[in-house]
Order: sequence, then C-alpha cells, then structure tokens
Amino acid sequence: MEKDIEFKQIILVTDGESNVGYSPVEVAQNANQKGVNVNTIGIVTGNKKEKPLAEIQEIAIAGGGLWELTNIKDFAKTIETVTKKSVYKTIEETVNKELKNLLGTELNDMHPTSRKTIIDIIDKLGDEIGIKTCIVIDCSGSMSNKINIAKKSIINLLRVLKERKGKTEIAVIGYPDGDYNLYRILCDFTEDIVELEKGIQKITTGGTTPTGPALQAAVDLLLGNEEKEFEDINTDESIFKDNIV
Amino acid sequence: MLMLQRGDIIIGKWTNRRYIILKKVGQGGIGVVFKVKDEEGNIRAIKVSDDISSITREYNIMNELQKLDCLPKVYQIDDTIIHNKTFYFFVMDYIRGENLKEIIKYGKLSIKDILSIAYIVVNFFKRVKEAGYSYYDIKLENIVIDKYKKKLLFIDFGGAVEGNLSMKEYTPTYSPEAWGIEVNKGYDDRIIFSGTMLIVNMLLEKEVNPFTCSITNLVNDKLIKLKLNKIVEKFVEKGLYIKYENVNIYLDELKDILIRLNTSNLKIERNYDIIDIVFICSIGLFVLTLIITVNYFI
Ligand SMILES: Nc1ncnc2c1ncn2[C@@H]1O[C@H](COP(=O)(O)OP(=O)(O)OP(=O)(O)O)[C@@H](O)[C@H]1O
Repeated sequence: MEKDIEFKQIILVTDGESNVGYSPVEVAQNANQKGVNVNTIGIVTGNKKEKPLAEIQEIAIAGGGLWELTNIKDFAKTIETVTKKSVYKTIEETVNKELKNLLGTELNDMHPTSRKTIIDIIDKLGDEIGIKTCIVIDCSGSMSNKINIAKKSIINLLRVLKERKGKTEIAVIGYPDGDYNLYRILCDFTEDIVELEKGIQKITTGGTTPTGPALQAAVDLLLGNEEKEFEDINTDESIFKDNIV
Repeated sequence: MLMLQRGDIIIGKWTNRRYIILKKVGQGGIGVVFKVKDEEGNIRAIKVSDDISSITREYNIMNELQKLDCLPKVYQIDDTIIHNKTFYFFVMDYIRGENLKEIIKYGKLSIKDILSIAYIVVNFFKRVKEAGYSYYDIKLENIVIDKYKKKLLFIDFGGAVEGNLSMKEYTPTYSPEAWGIEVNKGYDDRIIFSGTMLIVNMLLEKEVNPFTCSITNLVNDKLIKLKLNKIVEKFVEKGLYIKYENVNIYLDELKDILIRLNTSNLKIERNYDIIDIVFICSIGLFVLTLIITVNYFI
C-alpha cells in the first residue's frame, strides 16, 4: 500500500427507512465490490431500538462498512469515529493480508508485545492515506430539527480530518431535493472548508426518503473519475492498434 | 457486544493467567472495562476489546508514560477467547474514586479547586508532549480523583498517538476546531484551549456542546461572570480564544492566579464594577422613593 492510494467511502446519515426507489442494500453491495466502503449512521431519539434503523445495519454489512446509532447531540463525534474507524479497519485488513502473504502469519498470531511495529505502520498509513468521503444525508421532513447540528458536524469532520498529513476530500449529497428530485449533489469533492460550507448551506428539509437512488449517486460521484480514466485508456489502445494496422 | 458476568473467568492466551470478573465498571468507544481479581488475589481493572490495534496502541502508550505517574500502572497485555471470538485486553490498576463528571454533580468544587485541576491537567499534557506523544482527549469522565492516593489520574489513552501523528479521536467540546477557533501553533494551542474549556465546564457543571453554543456565548455567560473575578474572567477569555504565545506562559499566569488566591484569605469574589455600583445605587434610590411615597400616603 502506498500513500497516494485513495480510500473511498460513503457515510449514509438517516433517521428513517428508505421508502422510494430501488434497494439501498443492493447499491451498497455493488459499491463494495467496486472498492467503496459504505458506512451508515442512524440518528435516534432516546430509544435506541427503533425499528426502521434495522435497514442501516443491512446497508453497512452489505457495503463492507460500519454502522452506528447516535442521538443528534453526539453526531459530530460519531461521524468522526465512524470515518476514522472504517479507514483503519480497511488498512488493518490490507496489512494483515500482506503479512499473511509475506510471512504466513497474521497480527493475531504475533505475541502482543511484538505487535507494535505493525500497528505503527498501520497508524502511519492512516495518517498519510488520501481519504475521499461522500456524505449522503437524509433531508426528509423528519430531519428538519436536526439538520443544523448535522451541518456543523460535517464541517467539523473536514476540519478534523485535515489535521492528517494525507489529503482529505469530502462531498455531500442531500436527499430528497424538494418535491421533484430524488437527490442533489450539494457539494462535489473538495478540500476547502469554505466551499463545503457554501454547499451545505443549500440543504433544505422536507419530502420522502429515496435512500437507494441517493446512495447510487454517491457511488457514481466517487467512481466517476475512474470510469472516465478507464475509457481514456481504451480509446488510447484502439488508436494504438489502428496504428499498427 | 461483550457479555461477561460476575464469576466468569478470562484466561490469557499467551500468559495463561486467569482473571475472575467481579463487575463491569465502564464502557467506551473502544472497549469494556471490568473490575477483576487476578491469580494472586489482586484487584485490577482490565480493558477488553475486539479491536487489536486500539488495545495494543493504548497499552504501549500507557506503558511508555508510566514515568509521568499520573495514570494507572499497567501490567500484562494478552488475548483471550470468549464465545469463540478473540478479544484483546490489558491489565491495569483498578482505581477507586470518582471522575470529574460525577464530582461536579455535587457542585462542591471551589474556584481554587477548579483552577488547580486545570493546572495539573495542562501541565500533564505538556509533559506527555515532552515524552513524545500527543494526548488531549480530555473529558471530565476521563479524569479521576483517586480517593486513597488523593491524586488526579488520567484513564483513557485511546486517543493518544505517538509523535506528531494526528489524534485518533477526541471530544468536540474540547477541540478548538469544533468551535471554529483557529489553531496556529499546534499542540500548545490545543492544550491551552482544552484546559480552559475544562475550567468552563467545571464552572457550569456540565459539558457544553459546540454545535448548540458558541464561544461568544461562553465568554458572556452570566453564571461564569458571576463566579469569577475580573482577573480570572480575563484569563478564561484569553484561553478560549487561544491568546497565549505558548503553554508555559499560560501555566505561569495560572500559577500566579493560584498563588494570589492562596495568599488572599478571602474566597475569590467578583469585584464590583461601575455597572454594578450604578445598579445598586438605583435600587437604593428606588427603595427610598418607595418609602417616601408610602409615608406620604399614610
Ligand atoms: N483503571 C480503571 N479503574 C477503574 N475504572 C476504570 C479504569 N479504567 C476505566 N475505568 C472506567 O471505565 C470507563 C470506560 O473506560 P475508557 O474511557 O478507558 O473506555 P474507552 O472505551 O476508551 O472509552 P472512550 O470512548 O471514552 O475512549 C471509564 O469511564 C471509567 O469509569
């Protein structure tokens, strides 16, 4: 793993169950197969056993990510923890795989007092790796009294992640967008706090909960550039072949 | 997640040592802490988690910082299997005492206590830095007063990191960024801010939330103004806006204030300023007019 490798993740934030469009669980599964980590945060009020939130667990499991429930007051801390944990979890898995390939052993098999060297490598990678996080935030009617704290928490997340040595980019997709659109890209990937603030100010609440389509938009946004690069390579190749002929 | 009950036994995979669970004492983001009895009959605390890096990291850092003498002594680090799943844990001293969050509930802390605690905390962070680590994830919950040793101890090093890596986790309340306060000088700025915020929270007897409140709100808070004299009030304000060149200057000023508090036998009280005098005079005048009017009618 090198430090210019990018870690791509989605953080889905919702306080309810999807009710419009195709299944977010399937979208998450596909995303995971393409190397995108899908994490979910459910916003609850007091009672942590609210049923609609069973869906966020399914989405995270399908998306190879983590899921967490929180009340809005602690949302800032939760989104920060989930973001970092999912990064470290993935690095840890990768390092473990490498260890197994190289030495036929895992972190687990090493004596606890000699694990430090490996953990240090993981920490260094975590600090230096590029992180691309797309936050997909539920802006349906029920979120209206929570949205202000949510906005500030997202800005805080960028501030906190920017302390690392590696590059951090955040994009935000809100869903739904008014009465007609399923989602809206509020802010494309940016490292700039002012730009993020500007995008987030556009959030309005009200309407249904089309989680699936919004999640798909996030995957497209994350993979967008890559697919284009892929196409470019293809065309290059065909030109090359033409030349040979 | 991790279900262990009184009487359950944890066996270390590498050392074969056995620990009997006495009770669960706490739970955090990383793991669960249990009070246990070891083979020699010692009462200890163990922190158990399924997160191998967090446990390894925290144990190593606590081990390295032992010389600072402000944290529980650590013993073994080991793995164990509970219900077919591997968990990681380390053993440390069990602390009998209460954390600051519990202590402020009684409202018994004097201004002098509060400022002394802040001094110890900030000084500790400074020494952590000198030892080559970064740690400023203070929370009232993570600072414990040991009842027997009469000492302030720090218990949670989950967020601490080596050198100048960025912090693993920290609490928004104590983070300048969350409040929109700019950090120019890195670590020193952070610990000055954290320490001052700790003072504010102890004064207000709760942890304030940066997402529902602002620094201006705090600086103008009536209750804080009521409890502090002008000098301390200024000190708190400067701390919240990080107007100190470095942590040594901050600590010196705090020490000065503490010495002054000690020498003046008076409890710290608010100095009356012009506004108060005007206010008191006008009340006096009002009462006087009232008496005259009443007399007139009688
Ligand atoms: N050595 C100890 N002796 C007694 N109680 C302890 C000890 N260590 C921890 N505790 C208790 O366990 C609780 C959880 O511990 P700690 O904060 O270390 O966990 P954590 O998983 O790292 O939490 P966090 O989410 O705050 O990082 C503490 O609030 C405290 O009450």
